[in-house]
Amino acid sequence: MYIIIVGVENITAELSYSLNSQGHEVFVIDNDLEKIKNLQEEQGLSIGQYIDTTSKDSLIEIGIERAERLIAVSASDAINLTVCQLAKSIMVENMNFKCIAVVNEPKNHYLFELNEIDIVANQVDLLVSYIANAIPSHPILRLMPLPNSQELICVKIPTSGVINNKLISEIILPYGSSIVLIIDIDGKNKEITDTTKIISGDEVILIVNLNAINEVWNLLTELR
Amino acid sequence: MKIVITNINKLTLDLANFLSNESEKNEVILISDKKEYLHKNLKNNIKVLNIKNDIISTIINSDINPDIIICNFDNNYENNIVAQSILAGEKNVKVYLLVSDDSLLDLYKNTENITVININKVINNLLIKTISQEQ
Repeated sequence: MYIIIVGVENITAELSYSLNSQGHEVFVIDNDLEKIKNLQEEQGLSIGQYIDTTSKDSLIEIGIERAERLIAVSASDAINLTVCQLAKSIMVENMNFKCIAVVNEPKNHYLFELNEIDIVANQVDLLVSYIANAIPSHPILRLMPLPNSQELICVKIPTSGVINNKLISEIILPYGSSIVLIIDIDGKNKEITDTTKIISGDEVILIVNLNAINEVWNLLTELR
Repeated sequence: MKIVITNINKLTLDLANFLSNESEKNEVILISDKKEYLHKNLKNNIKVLNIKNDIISTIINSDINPDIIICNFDNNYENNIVAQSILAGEKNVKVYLLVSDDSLLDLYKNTENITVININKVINNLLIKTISQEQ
């Protein structure tokens, strides 16, 4: 598929190389001529072009109408949001077209959601969850953003956790949160009923509202 | 009426003077990241704010509380993020985006308090009209 990447940043070279290797046609655009030149030195002239990324005409010029994905990874949330809005307005009738945007400032996340950008990757959140996941005493894994300000997360139940040996019916989750899957320590899927017991080492996968992630995390990992 | 104008240049300075002359009740605040305009002789009801970082956050979150914001950043994305922040905050502010192409026109065609003005188009139309009148 034809994929447009907006912004030459730390991840761009690896991302374009990786997508190219998978057989996709990748084209990188940036407002900064020097950045594009550097990328062209690494991956060849045809990898990208210096254009005004937030100009509708420029996007049409580089063939956005035949693209199936636009990935905005620039260091500016204003650019990422604007280019995604413009792309969606051009591609309004193409149901296969999806916009993926990186958010650099967590406070801007809601603007991307308000504009219904298909996939929003919050850099800071991802890093925080990665670091948190690397600390065994407080494990959480943010698996996937979902529509309507929800997220799919995975929490590993700690050995000396308050929740250990409790029945699902005894656990009061925040409004809008629900357990969708429990994988036990042997990697087996547990049946979810009111009488299912949560045991230390279980990995609990839940759908939660973004604003309830910390609450769910604290509830499931609170130590005795 | 309190009017905030971003990005000081010849156009916005003239605009500030025009608006301040229109009514003494108009309070015009020019915002720029450059210091060169701080000591410029301006009328009493025109203020210049020098803000180095994050002009957009200053406009949106400060207690300036403008009735009108006129955005004249050099690019679409900075103008757009002001409009988006105003829409998301549901603030009762009228926003004019002075831009140099039609890219943002479609995004705000159904939005009552955001108006996109393509300056190049306005000037072109004026020139064409003037030339055709002379002929």
